[in-house]
Amino acid sequence: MSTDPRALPVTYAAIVFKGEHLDPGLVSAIMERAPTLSYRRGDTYSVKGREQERRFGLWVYSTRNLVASGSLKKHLEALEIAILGLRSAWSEKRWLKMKALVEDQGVELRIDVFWYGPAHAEFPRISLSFQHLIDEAGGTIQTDFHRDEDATQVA
Amino acid sequence: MHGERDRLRSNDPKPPAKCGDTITSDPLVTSHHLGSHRRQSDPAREPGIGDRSLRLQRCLHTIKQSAGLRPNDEVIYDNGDVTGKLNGDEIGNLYDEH
Repeated sequence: MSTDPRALPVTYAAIVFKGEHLDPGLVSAIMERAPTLSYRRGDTYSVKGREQERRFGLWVYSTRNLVASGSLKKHLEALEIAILGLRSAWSEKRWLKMKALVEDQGVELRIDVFWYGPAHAEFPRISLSFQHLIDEAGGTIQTDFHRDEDATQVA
Repeated sequence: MHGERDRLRSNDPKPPAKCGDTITSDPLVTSHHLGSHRRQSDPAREPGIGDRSLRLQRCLHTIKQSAGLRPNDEVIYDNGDVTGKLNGDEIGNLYDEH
């Protein structure tokens, strides 16, 4: 059964920082916003009642519950504002701190992009300016694109 | 795009699914996987009752992201349990995510 095509596409995106010794509090301070999800190495979590320790730190800021739009462009704009806000004259130091996280401390920065659209729809394009911004920040963009009805076919 | 890389295994029965009922379009899934009870949809957020594949993909995306995996990292989902293929760690359950 397919999804009501009038409700598609469903899309959102997230800024993700990941590092062995990542301090989520530091990332929140640099980004000046609270994460959607974060944890640090050594934090415990439970799977089937078994407690395990996180082996790295993670900081995620997602537009999923922040931007009510089926336009990927709107979601990426929200992330762009979050990142470009770091690049105003008064916050140049913060921009450099974020880059230092990535370049000097081995923290992975990536943008996860989710898009689920109607069957036969074209996948959305990510603007060159956004790609350039993330590239300049030392990050990568990871897409998770699906079309209705063909998304769960097993090879 | 990446759904075909995620493998499904096992045919054991499973309690009624929440977002797990999204796996029904998979040809490897037999009917006894299908729970008769579904999580109540939030009409403001859920596009419809036929969005099984959408729910599956969103669940997988969330689980992978929460575990620090990339969207294109392969996982195995076995009756809802999602395991990273690279390190074998169980990273979540489709029935717990929505």
